[in-house]
Amino acid sequence: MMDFAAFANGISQSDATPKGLIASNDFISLQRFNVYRNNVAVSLVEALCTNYPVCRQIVGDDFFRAMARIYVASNKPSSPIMHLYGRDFCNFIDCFQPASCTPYLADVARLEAARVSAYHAQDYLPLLSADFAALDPERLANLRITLHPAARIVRSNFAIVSVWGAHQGAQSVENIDPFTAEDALVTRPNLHVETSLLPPGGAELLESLARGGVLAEAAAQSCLSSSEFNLAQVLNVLISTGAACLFTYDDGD
Amino acid sequence: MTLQNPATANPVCQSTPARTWAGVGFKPQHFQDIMENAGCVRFLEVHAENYMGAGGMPHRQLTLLRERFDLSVHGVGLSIGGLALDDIHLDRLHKLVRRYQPRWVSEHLAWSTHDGVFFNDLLPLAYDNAALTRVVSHLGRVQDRLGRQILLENPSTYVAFESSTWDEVDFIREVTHRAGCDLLLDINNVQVSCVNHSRDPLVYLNAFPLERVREIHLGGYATDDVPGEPLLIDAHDRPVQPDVWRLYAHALKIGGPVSTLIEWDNDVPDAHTLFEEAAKADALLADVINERSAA
Repeated sequence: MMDFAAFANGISQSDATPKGLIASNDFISLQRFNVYRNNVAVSLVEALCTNYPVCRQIVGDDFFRAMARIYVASNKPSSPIMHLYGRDFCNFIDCFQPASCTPYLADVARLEAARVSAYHAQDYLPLLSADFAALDPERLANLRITLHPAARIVRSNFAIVSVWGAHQGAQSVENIDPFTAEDALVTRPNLHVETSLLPPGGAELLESLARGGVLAEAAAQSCLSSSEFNLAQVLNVLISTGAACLFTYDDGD
Repeated sequence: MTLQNPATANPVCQSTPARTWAGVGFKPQHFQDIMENAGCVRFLEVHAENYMGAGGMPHRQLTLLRERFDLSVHGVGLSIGGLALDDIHLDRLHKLVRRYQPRWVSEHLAWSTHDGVFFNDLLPLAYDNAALTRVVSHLGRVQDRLGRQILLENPSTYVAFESSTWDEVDFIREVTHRAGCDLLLDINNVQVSCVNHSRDPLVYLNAFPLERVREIHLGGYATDDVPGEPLLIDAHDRPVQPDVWRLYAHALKIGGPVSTLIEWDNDVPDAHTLFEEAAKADALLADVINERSAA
C-alpha cells in the first residue's frame, strides 16, 4: 500500500523525496516530485496574497512572497477552505525580524484577516438610524445591542485604518503618522466590507456590548478608559456603519 | 439598443443541442459580463470550497447565476483518494449541493489531506487494490451523503508509483463500475499525464470508459523547460493547446457530444477571451452533433 506519510513528509521537507517513484533516474524522480512541492508552496503563497492584498502592497510583492513562503513552510492549512487559511499570519509577522522596519504590518494583517472573515460572514440586515431613533429614551441605559455577524473590531497602536485607506487611494501615505493609535471597525452592512475608524473609547464600548453588557455599563467603562469618549459619536459610527443588528432591553419587560 | 463593436461582439453559438453545452469556470471578476451576455456559455462551474462561507457576496452571486445558468460544483478538497474522508467537509459539500441543486457535482481521483494537513494540491495515488477499495468506499459515502451520483475526474500526474498494480484507465473503469459514479474527463489531464509518463494519449482515450463521461474539462498546460524528459504542467493559465483540441475532437467523435468546460484559473483573462474559448468547444460540439444527425 502507498506510503502517504512519506509522500506528505516529502512535500514539507526538501530533503525527503519519497521512495518507490517510477523514473528513469534519480534526477527525473526529484524533478517530477518537485512539481508537487512547488504546487503546494505556490498555491498557499497565492492564498495569502489573496487574503492580505494591502500587506503585500506595503512590503512589495517580492518581500511578501518570500515572507509568505517561510510561513507556508511550517504552517500548512488544516481546512480545504482557503479563505480560512493564514488567520494567524499576523502572529508570524509580529516575530518576523525582516519586517520589523514596518512595525504596523502585523496589525494591518489583523485588519485584513478581519475583512476576509467579514466578507464571508452570515447575512443579516443591519439596524438603521430609524431603528435607533425609535428607541425609548427612558430605557436606553438598559439597552443591549447585538453586533452584526460581520462586525469586527481590530485595535492597534498604529494608524492601521489610515494606512489601509491610503492603499485604497483614499489619501497619501506620506501624510500618515503610522505611530498614531487607531482602532478599526470592520462591517458589512450589505455585500461590501467597510473599514471605519472608531472614535476614542469606541472599541471598549463595542467590546463591552459584544460581551453582553447593557449600554450604561458599557459607556461607563469607555469613560474610564478614554477621557475623550463621546457616547453619541460612537453610537453614530455604530449605526452608520451597520455594526448593530438587534436591540433588546434588559429591564424585565 | 446599442450597436455591438464587431471586435468585441460575442461569438456566434453554433450548437443548439439539448443540454449538451459549453461552459466556463466562474471567476467573480467576470460576474457582470456573464450576467450581461455570456455568448455561448450555458453553464458555469465553481470550486465548492470557495462557497463554503456563511454568506456575503459569493453566495449572492451564485444565487443570481443559478437563476440563469446550470451549475457544476467541482470539489477540490474532499481527498477521495486519501486514507480518511473528512465527514465535516462532506457535510459542508452536502449543504452547498442541497442549496444550489447543481446539474453536476464532481471531485478528483487524488488526495489532498493527510493526518489533518491540507496540501491544497491534487496529489497522486498508487493504483493498487487497497486504493481501489478505499476510493470505492469513499465515493459510496459521498454519494450516500449527497443523495446523488457524482463525477470522478481523471488526474494530471507528475509521478507514478512502483507499487501500482492497476493501469490508470482500468482503475478508473473499475471504480466507476463498483461505486456507480460517472466520470468527468479532463482532456488536458490526459495529455499532461500521458506525456509525463511516456504514454500515447490516443490509446488512453480509446480505452477510457467514455460512455460514463458526463462532463469534459479543457484547460491550458505549461511545458516545463528543463533538461531531460518532457514535462507538462497542468497550469490552467493559458488557452487550450492545439494538441488538446485535437484530442477533444477525437473524444467527441468516438464518444459523442458531452457538455464541456473551459478551465482557466491562473492569469485569468477577460471574460470575452474566456467566452471565445468556450465558443471553440461549442463549435466542435456542433460539428459532432451535425455529423451524428446526418448519419
